[in-house]
Amino acid sequence: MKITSIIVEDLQPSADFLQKFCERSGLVSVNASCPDAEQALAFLSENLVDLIFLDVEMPGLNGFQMLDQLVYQPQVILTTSKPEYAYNAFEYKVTDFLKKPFTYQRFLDAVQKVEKIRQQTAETEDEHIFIKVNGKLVKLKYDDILFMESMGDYVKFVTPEKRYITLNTMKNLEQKFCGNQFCKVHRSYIVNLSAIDDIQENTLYIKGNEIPVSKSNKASVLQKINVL
Amino acid sequence: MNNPGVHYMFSGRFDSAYLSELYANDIDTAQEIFESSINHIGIELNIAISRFNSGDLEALRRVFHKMKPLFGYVGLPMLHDYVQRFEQRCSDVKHIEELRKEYEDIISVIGDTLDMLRQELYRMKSFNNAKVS
Repeated sequence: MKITSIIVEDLQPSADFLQKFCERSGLVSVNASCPDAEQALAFLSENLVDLIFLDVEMPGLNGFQMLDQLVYQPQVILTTSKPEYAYNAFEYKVTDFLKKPFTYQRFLDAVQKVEKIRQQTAETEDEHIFIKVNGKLVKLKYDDILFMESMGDYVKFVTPEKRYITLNTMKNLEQKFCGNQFCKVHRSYIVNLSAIDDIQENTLYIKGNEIPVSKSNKASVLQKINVL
Repeated sequence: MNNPGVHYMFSGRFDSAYLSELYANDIDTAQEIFESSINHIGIELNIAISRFNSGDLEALRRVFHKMKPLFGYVGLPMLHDYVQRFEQRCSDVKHIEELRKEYEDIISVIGDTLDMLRQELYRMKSFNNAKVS
């Protein structure tokens, strides 16, 4: 999947130049090109992108002032002809700093940095899920989920603090969750293996909750936990 | 688009090695960027004259800051550096009159450069048209 981006640049030839490099690379799609920070902020308030190519000196807000106003911060490649901004760039943790005019190879190096970070972030993001509860999306970290219990067409997610009920099926959850961290222990239960406190006969206990383990699932549960 | 078999040779005053790296022999793109850069240098030059006449040093510096990378896109790194030095001078002096001589020189150099750029653009257009026909 291509890196989605926005170009924020008041000088049209610089924006054109950047756009050509993005096209040539085949790695970056440019979703918008804005001549000033205000237009960019309006775009970014309604659209998510992976990357901002950001000039610093522009009419109105400068590039850093624009970053201060962002609700979420995508990765940023600063494009400026003034190397003096390198210190601020470091402070704002931008991904890279391209001094205009830059070569295609230098551009490519910067984009590859963005891609690497994007992949790392995607891996981290796999460790949580959003579930729909009462019309809103709630973020649950995998580590926080103790177990899931089937309730007909609904599923209850149990965390140390709260219980969430959402419309879903065990079959879906089994496909989504069962692997190294989670295991189906009963037709109505999927548990977080690292949350198990103890197991006695055909019952396991998680933070005071008693969960049945079916005969057919017991062998695979014991296989997945560390038994001395 | 790239044409590996047909190579355009930039005139001697341009940094052809840099331009080759920049455009990878994509002379259609080079023509577009040259054309756009020439237009903007012309626009910014007029703004610079107006800013100098109004005595606004910071506004004058911003115009040259904005203009500076355009000389890079057209393969004139020495001029890019020259403009950068002038931009710095705008920050260094207290009164715009201290810059008058340097300002007049740079305006004249940029004016001459525009003529040179227009000639190169004409050559590029001829090259690209010849490819099509």
